[in-house]
Amino acid sequence: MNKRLALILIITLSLISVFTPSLFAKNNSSVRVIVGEVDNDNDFKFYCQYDTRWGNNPYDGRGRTIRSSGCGPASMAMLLATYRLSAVPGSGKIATPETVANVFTQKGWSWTSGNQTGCANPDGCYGTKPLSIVDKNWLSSVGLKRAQSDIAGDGFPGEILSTSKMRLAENYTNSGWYLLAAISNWPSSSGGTIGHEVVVLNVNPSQQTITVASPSDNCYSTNFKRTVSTRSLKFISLVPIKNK
Amino acid sequence: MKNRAVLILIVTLVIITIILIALALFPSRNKESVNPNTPLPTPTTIEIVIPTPSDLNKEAISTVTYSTQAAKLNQKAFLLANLILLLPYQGNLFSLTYDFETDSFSLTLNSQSAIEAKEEFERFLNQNGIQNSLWLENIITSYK
Repeated sequence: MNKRLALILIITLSLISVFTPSLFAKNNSSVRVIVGEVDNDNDFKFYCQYDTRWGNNPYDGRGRTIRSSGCGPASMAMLLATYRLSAVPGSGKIATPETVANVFTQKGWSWTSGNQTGCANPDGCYGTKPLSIVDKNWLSSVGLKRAQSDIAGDGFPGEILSTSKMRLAENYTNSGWYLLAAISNWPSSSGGTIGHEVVVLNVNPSQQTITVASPSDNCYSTNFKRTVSTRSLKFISLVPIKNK
Repeated sequence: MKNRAVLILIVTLVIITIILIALALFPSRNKESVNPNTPLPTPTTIEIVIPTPSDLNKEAISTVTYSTQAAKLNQKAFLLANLILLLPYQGNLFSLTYDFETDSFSLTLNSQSAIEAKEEFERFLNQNGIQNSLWLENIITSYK
């Protein structure tokens, strides 16, 4: 009798020990991540330019890649994908850094020639033209529109935003616009500064900070947003963009 | 003797079970906790692309380039932003406002002196670097 009781007890305890962890682990199984692509925060679509699906794709025909020089198309792809738009109207495919980079390359919006006046890199210009001058007709054809103003379009090396400019930017974000920013001295996560393009999501004039989706920052995290001080950031352009 | 062996076995199993339950209830602090208020990513497929060390080490090279030609193209939009900073503006014979949501201007001219009002408006624009009222897109003019 005692043996039988002991056996039942052993079996019961064994079953509990086997199933208990999986029961408690179930709550975490809903966390699904596609690294390099996050779709949350009221459907804002984040793309990482380093993502292995497109990071190594050539971008400007001179050995540059989306990973090294594709923050422009990656930022534009974020805006298009946020509105579920395609870089090639009629293709039915939601934009990715790859499809936008192809369009930019075709249209000559990824600079390839060196010795251009004002070029940020003495080795030659590469990357993307500041998106503020990307053809309005193209933006319209893909379903986006840009505001007629450029909050910081005074040119290289860019302006540090005054409080009034910060408030102006905040008015746009509060009115449903995203801000496409070209910044000449973006603080690189590995130290130093780089020229960079990002999507500004929020502006805080009193704290003098902006919250951005940067295609080269927080790539391997579900929380892609990065808040940075604007006290020393030099904006080459800061253009409000939203869907038509 | 046998009973003692069974008892030890049972006690051992109970301890193991308690440890397992404790582990399940209090997961390791190294695991990233999931805040229930944090919006979760929504993709339906699970595709983990593990970055290679070279992915992590490489930094985006300067991706913004610039030319003086771009500066000129941006100048108009830059001046418009500076103008918007001054709005709403009330002149003697006109008023000008800007709607951020629709990206449109509203110009109200004094109907009794419409020509003078328009001139005053153009002067106001010129003083702020806007060479021509045609630079303002989406402008709704009314007379009052």
